Amino acid sequence: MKKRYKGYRENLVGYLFILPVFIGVLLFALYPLGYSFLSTFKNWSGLRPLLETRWANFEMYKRVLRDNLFWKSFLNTLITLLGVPIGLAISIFIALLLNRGLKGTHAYRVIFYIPVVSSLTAIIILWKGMLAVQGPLNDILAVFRIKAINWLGEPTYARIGLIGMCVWKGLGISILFYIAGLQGIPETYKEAARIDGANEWQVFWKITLPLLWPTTFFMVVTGIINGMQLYVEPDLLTNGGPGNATRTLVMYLFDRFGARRVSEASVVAWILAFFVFVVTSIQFAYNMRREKR
Amino acid sequence: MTTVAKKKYMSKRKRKLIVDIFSYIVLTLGAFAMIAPFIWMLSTALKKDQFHIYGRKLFDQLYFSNFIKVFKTIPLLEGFKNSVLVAVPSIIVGTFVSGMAAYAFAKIKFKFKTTLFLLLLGVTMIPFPVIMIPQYYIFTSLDWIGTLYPLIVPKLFGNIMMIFFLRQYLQNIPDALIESAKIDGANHFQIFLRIILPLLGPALAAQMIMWFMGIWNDYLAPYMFSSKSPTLPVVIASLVSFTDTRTETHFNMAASILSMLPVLAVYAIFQKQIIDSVILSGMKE
Repeated sequence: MKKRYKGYRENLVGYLFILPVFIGVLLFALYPLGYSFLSTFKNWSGLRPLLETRWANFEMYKRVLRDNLFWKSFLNTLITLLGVPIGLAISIFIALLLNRGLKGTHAYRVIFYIPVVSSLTAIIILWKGMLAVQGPLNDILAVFRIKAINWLGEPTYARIGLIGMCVWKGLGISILFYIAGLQGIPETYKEAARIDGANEWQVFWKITLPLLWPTTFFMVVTGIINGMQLYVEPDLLTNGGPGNATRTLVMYLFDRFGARRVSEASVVAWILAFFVFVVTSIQFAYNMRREKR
Repeated sequence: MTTVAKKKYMSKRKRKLIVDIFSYIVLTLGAFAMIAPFIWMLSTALKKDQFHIYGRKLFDQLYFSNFIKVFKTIPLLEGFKNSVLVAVPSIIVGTFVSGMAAYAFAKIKFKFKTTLFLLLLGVTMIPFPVIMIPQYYIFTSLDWIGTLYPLIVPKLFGNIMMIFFLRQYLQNIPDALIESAKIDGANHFQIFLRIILPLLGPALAAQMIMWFMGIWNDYLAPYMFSSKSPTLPVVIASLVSFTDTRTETHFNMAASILSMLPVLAVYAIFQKQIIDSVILSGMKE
């Protein structure tokens, strides 16, 4: 049985304790949220008060959706999402090796996590140097007699370089999450399969990988949400180039914002928010179903 | 043991050994891929000048003076000062506020608790690009653009992810502990200060460290709102700005290394707690 409400005072104390957090949420999240939504239906340059700006109905949405650069940025963003499955495949492999109870496992974990804690801007400077035409990456390729690649100068290679950097930086997190997932799988399941004559390959595909699905699912979702908002990496590594090949949605948004076409920037933000909302809803539905079981 | 079983056992051991060796080789290659760029970075930071950067040899030149010269060419110290000014008050006040909210959500009974908690959950879904533009105009109207206030003030109101984590942690603490303190005449605020905060100790420390690293490395908000009072990442990012050609690659590397040192030092000291707390949060998913 639940204890009876002490009533008034207990209620009041509860609200007082959470009050600061909700003031913050109201001022810095919900109010801007409404403001942003309203601005998508107006033609706002940011110079005059939003409320005094004239209505534009869906004109701003049309403008954005008719712009080829928007679609190009959208497509580029989707392409960078290729890094998610690549990163997860590598992480699962490394996590399996780190979960074998070998000596020195902790040291390896610490090393794989170093890029995660390192400052992103410093990492980008580092990778700009690595990807330079005379840089060390091409030196390594030269050992295998591969001609020097103009990483940041050619669309496809610039994309590969960008994705490579993002995967490299984020690997540590997904490895640790997979280690957490692997530790939740009882050894008896695998033993049972082995007794039934399954080899290690089959154990992995039929037992381990399916049981890791909640972890994989969570990381695909967060990967999509973060990937859709990719900005700093392409902005500083390639500045969206060459020829807009790495221009992402949020870069496009910043462009409109800088050009004082603030309403168009807000439209892009809401298209983004819509995607995040859809993906999160799928995640939510999935979690509800899992809890029911 | 029969000979057949023995043979099977031996071959099993042999196979384990082979897989172990294979694992070590792959892991070491992987670790190399993680660390090698940093080693190259350090070697580049020590080169004589712009024209000696892409030699094939690592560490053939050791101009440690680059690390000192960098302070003269780039406002590194100002960035450092600003980063500290943002991180310290935000984390101290923000953690306290988050702890109070977490305690309320875990142990105090009040109406609409679940609804309010779900609302917080919803707020975390809002992508930053959606609210950053209105935030920019709000901060403009307060005359805060270019100062550090846009980076500090919002954080003073707590960190929702931290509230989630601490609430979960507090739910495992028996109610009896709080009930007995109440019988002794303590009110909720006293209970929070004297019992809950000390109890939260290790969990709180791990959360504060993670938050510190997040704030220290954050670039987007500082760049957007406060580039006239640049934090370290903004100072570093200005080195790659496509219009600014003042600085040279070896200096850029030296500056980047210096900017990472505080966080890497924190990581080196608390690596065990950090790794454990990430794995723990992974288990909850």
